[in-house]
Amino acid sequence: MIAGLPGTGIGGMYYLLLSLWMPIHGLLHNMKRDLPFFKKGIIMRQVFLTVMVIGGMWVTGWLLGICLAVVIPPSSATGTSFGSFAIARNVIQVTPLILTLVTLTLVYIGMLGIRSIVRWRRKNGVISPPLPA
Amino acid sequence: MRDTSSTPDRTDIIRGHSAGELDLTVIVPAYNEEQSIADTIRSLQQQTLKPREILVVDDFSSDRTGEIARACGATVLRPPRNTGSKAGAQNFALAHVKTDLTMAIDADTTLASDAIEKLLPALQDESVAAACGFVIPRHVETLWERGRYVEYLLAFTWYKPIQDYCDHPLISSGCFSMYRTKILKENGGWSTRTLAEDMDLTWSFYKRGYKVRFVHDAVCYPIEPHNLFFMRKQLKRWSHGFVQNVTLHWEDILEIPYLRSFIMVALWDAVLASIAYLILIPLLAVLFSSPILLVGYIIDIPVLVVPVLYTASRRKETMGALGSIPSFFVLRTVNSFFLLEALVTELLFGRSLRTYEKGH
Repeated sequence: MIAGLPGTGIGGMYYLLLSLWMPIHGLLHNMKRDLPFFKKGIIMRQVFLTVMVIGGMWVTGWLLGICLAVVIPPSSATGTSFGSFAIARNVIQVTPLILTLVTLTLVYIGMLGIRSIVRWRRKNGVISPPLPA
Repeated sequence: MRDTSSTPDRTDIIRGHSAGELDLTVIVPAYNEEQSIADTIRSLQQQTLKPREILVVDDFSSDRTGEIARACGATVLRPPRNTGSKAGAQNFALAHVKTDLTMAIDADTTLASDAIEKLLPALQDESVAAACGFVIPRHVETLWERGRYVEYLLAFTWYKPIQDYCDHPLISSGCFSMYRTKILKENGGWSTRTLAEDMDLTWSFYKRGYKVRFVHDAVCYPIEPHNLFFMRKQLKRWSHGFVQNVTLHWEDILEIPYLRSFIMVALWDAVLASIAYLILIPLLAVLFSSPILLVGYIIDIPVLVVPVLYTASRRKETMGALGSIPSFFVLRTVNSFFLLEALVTELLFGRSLRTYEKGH
């Protein structure tokens, strides 16, 4: 997400995964003594926020469960709206995460696919090479 | 990599004539900013580390901008005609810069008194071309200012530090950034080929192998659009600028780790969220005759509220931030319209917006 652009979907998941990866990355680099000081501060703050955000995601799932329970009529199996609510609540906590992860993975693979095509075109002189670093 | 945040040895980047004066020139592009230019200059003069020179580009203003800036002690440059964009005005001043460091700040932006001092250590690393800081709206009163306030708290607390950890902040904000003059000039200054010159510059630095840093503790306070008239102009410029930059740089960006992923998820989310907010959610609510589905507009509230309240509580603004959260949902729904409009106009119709309309 950038200020000025809407959306916190797969981006939210991507940044969350990065946040979870940061302490591991930081630990490995700290052992090699090549972790810049400013990055230690970022890790500590982000780990705290990540834990809180995951809690927030759980709340989101819970809220979605309640919404679905209201929208979807009670199932004949349970016969009560309470039963339907319980099922919806349990399912919805996992489903959005899996859907988001799958979407993120597919989008990422798609991006790598596009990069391969661009590399192939560059190799064959169809487009100019990138600027040197 | 060098430790750039612990107490730095600043002797190599502070080469001033007197103690506390930096080898730094500040460029302030200004067009009809008589209401705010004095505050901006004063905030620069009151820095704990002072710049050597403040260059105000009076971009052919029809008001007293130049006169006020001169009275405040800044050097005023006036091009022969209006340069047509912020980038144009900044480039006009860049030709006059002789210091090692250059800072760009908007004429409606003030800085925390230690902002420059906090930003400076990031540029100790020779490979860092630019550094930017935390942005917080100066006035948080109207719906639009409140929406932007929450948006900034979220973006600068949650997203930008992660980007910084990965050495690729998505953008070095144009309202307050510091650059190495040599690298900036090598780049040809700020390009006028897109409407988001700061994004263009940041991505150009990455393509040349330079780094950009975000410094959480260096804070600036711009005046944000206070009504829909000005907000519309800004959102239109930002949305078109983003699409123009993706179109311009996408092939090269695919080779830059992290940056490509940040842009990919931003683009994907922005498109999907815009379709959801403007079409999908209202359509489903009507089809199923169920207003409860409108909760989709705010379903991510628990996620966004965490970083927002974290920074707000540290700034002792918790209640103000909580009260501003509904405005954020309004702003991003309006924002969705402009993003879709930019995508359709730029990509489908091939009509690139070139007119720079000042948002504030």
